[in-house]
Amino acid sequence: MAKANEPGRLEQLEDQLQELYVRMLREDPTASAEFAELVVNEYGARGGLIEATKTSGDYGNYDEARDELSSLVGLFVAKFLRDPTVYDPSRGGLGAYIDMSLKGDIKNAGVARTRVSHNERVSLVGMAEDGTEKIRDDVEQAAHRRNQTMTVEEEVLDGLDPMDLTEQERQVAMRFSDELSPTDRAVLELMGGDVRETEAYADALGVAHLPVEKQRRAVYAAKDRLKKRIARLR
Amino acid sequence: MSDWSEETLGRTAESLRGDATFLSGWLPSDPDGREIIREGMDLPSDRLNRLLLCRAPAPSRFWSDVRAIADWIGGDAFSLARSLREASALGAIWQTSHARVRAARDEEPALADASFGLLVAARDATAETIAVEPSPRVRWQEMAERFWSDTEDARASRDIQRAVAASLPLAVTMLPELGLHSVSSWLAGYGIDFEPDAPDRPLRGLLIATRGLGMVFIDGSLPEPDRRFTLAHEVGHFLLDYLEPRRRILREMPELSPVIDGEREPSRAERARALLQRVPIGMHTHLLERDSHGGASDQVEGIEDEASQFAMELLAPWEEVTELVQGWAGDPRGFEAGVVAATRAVQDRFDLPLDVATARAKAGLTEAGHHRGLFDR
Repeated sequence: MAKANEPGRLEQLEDQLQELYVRMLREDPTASAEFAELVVNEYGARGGLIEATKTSGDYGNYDEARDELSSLVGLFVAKFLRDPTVYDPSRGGLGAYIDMSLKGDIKNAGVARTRVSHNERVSLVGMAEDGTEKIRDDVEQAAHRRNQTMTVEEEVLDGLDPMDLTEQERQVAMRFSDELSPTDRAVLELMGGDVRETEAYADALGVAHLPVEKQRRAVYAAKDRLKKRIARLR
Repeated sequence: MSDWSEETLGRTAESLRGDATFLSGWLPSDPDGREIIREGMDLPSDRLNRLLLCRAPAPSRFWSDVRAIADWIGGDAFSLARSLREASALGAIWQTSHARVRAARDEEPALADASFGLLVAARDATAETIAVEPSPRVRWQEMAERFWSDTEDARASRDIQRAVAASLPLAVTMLPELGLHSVSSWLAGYGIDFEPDAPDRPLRGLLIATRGLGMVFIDGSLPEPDRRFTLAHEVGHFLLDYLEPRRRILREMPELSPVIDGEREPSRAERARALLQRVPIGMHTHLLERDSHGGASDQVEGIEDEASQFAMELLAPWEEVTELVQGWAGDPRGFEAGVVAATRAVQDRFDLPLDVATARAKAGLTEAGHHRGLFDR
């Protein structure tokens, strides 16, 4: 794909986006997929965005920032496909809207992540002092909270969670724990402790302020990413 | 496409899983609709993601939407339509089957039986008598015309399987040595518990319909004309005995939607209102039962016969048949010779099984005034 800074490229991209936008509003069957592919390829080609993601938050390495950007772009595109009318053409170009929205998402994710990792650093010190007893307490508390706050439907849904770690995956996660970010370690600890409560993961990921459905999606994406990462590390 | 882009599109599709507007959410999770599509179309993951991000085809323009989507993913439209039909039908049957299991567990025998939520109709392997009935009902002619109108290319070749995939929410599966047991085994592979209340027997075709969708099984070892006619016969059941009455109920008493999907029983008031409005809420009969000699009840025979009459109209339209057999009406060689010649012509032109071609030719000749004379008896 052509680079965004090539002459005329942005205008060409804007034309393509606008055409797809109109087709999406007309409920053209392939416009959503074409739009998703265009946006994802375009932003995948912009290496600078990964760098921006990396510097926006407390990311361990380039791979992690790359993964985070993938999650953010995926969520953004899905949200846009569901309701393209969030974009108001009278307020500017669609390309600019996407740029602005994505940069905002990257910034927010970075802020949330930095906040979480700060909290975690504090809690990791505590964990080191209290040892495994503390982890067990956290897991038990989370389980207790779950029983108090979850609806039957949520419990059933979480009971179907395909993200449980196998013993082999637990061992791989422990072996490579130094390569993981504090947030990823926290999520893996919850997964390893068979905690299924979305709230606990949302806290760890710093997305507890979002509506429950969005929390669920973010948690799912994080677990999915970690499972894939563990698979790569094996 | 880079790995990053592919991964990100996969995540986008995953985020849309709960939204039935898109194929990602429209395909059932149980059984795994993605896997059915992947296998049915032999799609690599990047093309599967392209597919999952498309809007689900609108029922009113299913075929044109499917063609557009097939173009976009670089696949065959017919294979895509067939795979989508199969995935959605299996999802509906899975839901009904699990609802029945739940109802049985919760001791709600009326719902566990759920005869009003499911239509099961079979075309037996044993020979049947095809009624010679001239002047088919206008309704059948109209329905047959509508059936072909979506797919002009399929109409030209009378390719019924292609036309079904394009125009009806009905999946078609060929199984060798078709019988109740082989269908149960095949469905069990998708986690569906289908144990009909009838002993195993060889079949030519079987229809299962529920939640507005259907699945036809055909004995794949039958000769091509028999396969086509059996499919047309099951299409007849689906339209006449399931879809039309269902649409009528939804149009006239939409609040009964969960009743006809077997999710709850109708209340007394609903039964009374349905009776007054002549809305047949108990129309989804079980058409599998046969007596110890393999015979069906008069009611089931009548329904089977209607399905066959409709199938004939679909494959050998009445107007075309009467025009074709005109030449043999009053054949000077006698009644039987006329019937044999006309049958051969009908068989050649419409690719029908012999017994069906004979019934259709006889009906056409009768309409044209060709009767058995005194010395023909």
